[in-house]
Amino acid sequence: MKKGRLKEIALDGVIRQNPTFRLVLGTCPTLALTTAAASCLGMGAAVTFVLICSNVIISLLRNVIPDKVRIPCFIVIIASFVTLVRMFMQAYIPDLYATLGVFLPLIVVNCIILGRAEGFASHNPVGESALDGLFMGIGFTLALTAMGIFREVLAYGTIFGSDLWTGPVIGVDPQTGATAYGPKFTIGFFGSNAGAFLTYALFIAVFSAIYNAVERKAHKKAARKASLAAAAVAVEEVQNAQ
Amino acid sequence: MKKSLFVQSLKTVFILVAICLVCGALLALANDLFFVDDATKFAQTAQSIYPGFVVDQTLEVDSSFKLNYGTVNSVTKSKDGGYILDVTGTGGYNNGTVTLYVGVNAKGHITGWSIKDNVGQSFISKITSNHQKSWYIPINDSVEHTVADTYDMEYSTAAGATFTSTAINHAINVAAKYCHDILGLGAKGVK
Repeated sequence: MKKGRLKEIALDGVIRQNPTFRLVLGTCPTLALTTAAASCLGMGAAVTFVLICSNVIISLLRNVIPDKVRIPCFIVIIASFVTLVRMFMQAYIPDLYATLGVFLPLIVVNCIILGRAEGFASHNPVGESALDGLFMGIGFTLALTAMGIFREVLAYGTIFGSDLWTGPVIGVDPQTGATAYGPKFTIGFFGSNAGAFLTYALFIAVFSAIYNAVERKAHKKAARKASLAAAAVAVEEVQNAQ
Repeated sequence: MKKSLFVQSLKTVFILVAICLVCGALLALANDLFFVDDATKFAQTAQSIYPGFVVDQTLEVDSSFKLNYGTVNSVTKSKDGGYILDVTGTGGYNNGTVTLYVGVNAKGHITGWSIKDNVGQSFISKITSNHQKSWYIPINDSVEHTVADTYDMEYSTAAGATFTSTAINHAINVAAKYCHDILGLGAKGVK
């Protein structure tokens, strides 16, 4: 692998081509599962595993799979890994399996996985494809978890299932003697589907604003450096001519 | 030319079939590795909703117990006198149902519940934490209290769809009513 290629793949996956905020892929699980941060981590882990494995196999078979049937072959390979993940979760993590529900088999048609298979793994060596799958998965997981935390805190006042604050004290439970709390302040809108869209739009807007600002700064710096280098070359030429 | 096209097409089909067969064989192997029988699945669920549950015996469901909003599928008794009931509640979205495991201890208090299955309730995966579950029935509530106070109540904001809430409420109330009427739990002066 060329020097700097690892950094390039990592930055592409997590920031420059973040599948959620930059490429806007995989919106179905993004909108549906971000009501709870814990389920975002689970979905992110599942997608990362499928991405890495499918990228590796597709890259290995890239010179074998005929062009005419490449999409069906990709789907069969991706579906096999998704089924593997489902079997594993059903056996060992049944709570997460129940939480992800219908969105687990939907990973098969997740655009991120098919997009990376078609756009990267089928044209690049195995090592780079595996890294691309890993960092794309990390980017997806981070994006989903950030949105999940935001929505869960605002809609339910919890983070990863733990209460962040309670409602006003209204008395003492006569049966158990424990302090009784009233309903706590939350913005239930962010738990709804409309809230999901609004949250997604806000995150895309903020991410794009920060990314564009950093890019502009980087371009200005590069342009200043280039002009200084050009000026130095011009001065040297003049001196040589004299 | 025709032969060449035929050979190419044959090669294409062969490669696709080969990939399918290899994937199928690997999945069959994985199925054997990850297979978990029903008894183990039940034991895992039992511990999560009723810590300390040890199966004593499976009771026969009383056939005279009939409700129009759900059914009791099975009753498993614990060695400490508690029960886990497999119940189905009707009234879900598009006439769908929700099947729950409901744990009830010997004092007649609901220890917890877990979703076993559902028919047509896509958003049921949103109900995960104990915090969300407490919208339907506070854990540790007595079955007597459950039957009196939560029947016909609908927590419409919980799952984003009233019908799913209805089916869950019905399932929990079926369990509570069975424990109260048939098993005699939570009734004043009894157990």
